[in-house]
Amino acid sequence: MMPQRQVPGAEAPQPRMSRPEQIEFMEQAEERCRGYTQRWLADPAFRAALHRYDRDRSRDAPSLSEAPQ
Amino acid sequence: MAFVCVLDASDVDCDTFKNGDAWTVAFRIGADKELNLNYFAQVGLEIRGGGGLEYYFNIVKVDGDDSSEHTYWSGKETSSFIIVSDRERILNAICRATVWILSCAQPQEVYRITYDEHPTEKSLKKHELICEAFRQAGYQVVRGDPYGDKRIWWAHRLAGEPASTNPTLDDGEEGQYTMTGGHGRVRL
Repeated sequence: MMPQRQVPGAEAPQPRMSRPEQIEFMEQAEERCRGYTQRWLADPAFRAALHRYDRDRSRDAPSLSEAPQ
Repeated sequence: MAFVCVLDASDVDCDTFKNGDAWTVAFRIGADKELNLNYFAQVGLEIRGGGGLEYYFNIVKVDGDDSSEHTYWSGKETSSFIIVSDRERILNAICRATVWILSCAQPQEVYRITYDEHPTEKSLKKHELICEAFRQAGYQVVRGDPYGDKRIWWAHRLAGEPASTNPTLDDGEEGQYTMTGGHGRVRL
């Protein structure tokens, strides 16, 4: 177990992560975190929340009836 | 046109999602109206293989023209288009969302790791503010001594420590926060 630096004001509980586990945790961090967000982006409700503010460009374009003749 | 921060000085409107033991909160932080882009901060807690949850946050760019999303994981990327004062407001909102998501999930153990290798002192100050949000939510935070290229923190929930959040519901009424189908909206 690697030594831990205590944050001021806190007692020092020990994480249940061995040194090899911590190294593995570090090495796979980027791939793992990208996976987290990709899974949420596959959730229709989550994507809908993100796209709630999308401007519908088709609304900005003049309709055929409004277009100059 | 460029990134314009839309965060209110006092309120953060959040969408909260739950899927099993995984939680995430997303809220709009900015927009580029000309390019039909919106930017969100995402704060999440995910199940870690070895026990406990893993905390993370990022910025998601949402393109309204082609319905795509791009995720920024490093402050080195976002610093090119978000000015310092806005970055401070965004970090403040992320800290509030952190307290909120911890109060929702109430995990016993949370692990956190820097995305960037060899984080700068400036980056570590940002992470120290996140540590403070954990403490505010009733957690002890321990930082691993640095080795390798990244930094790790571990947080342990203190017994009987209430999370300090006071959200109002989406409709502005005070009351019990509820989720429907794993989704709810709240104003922090």
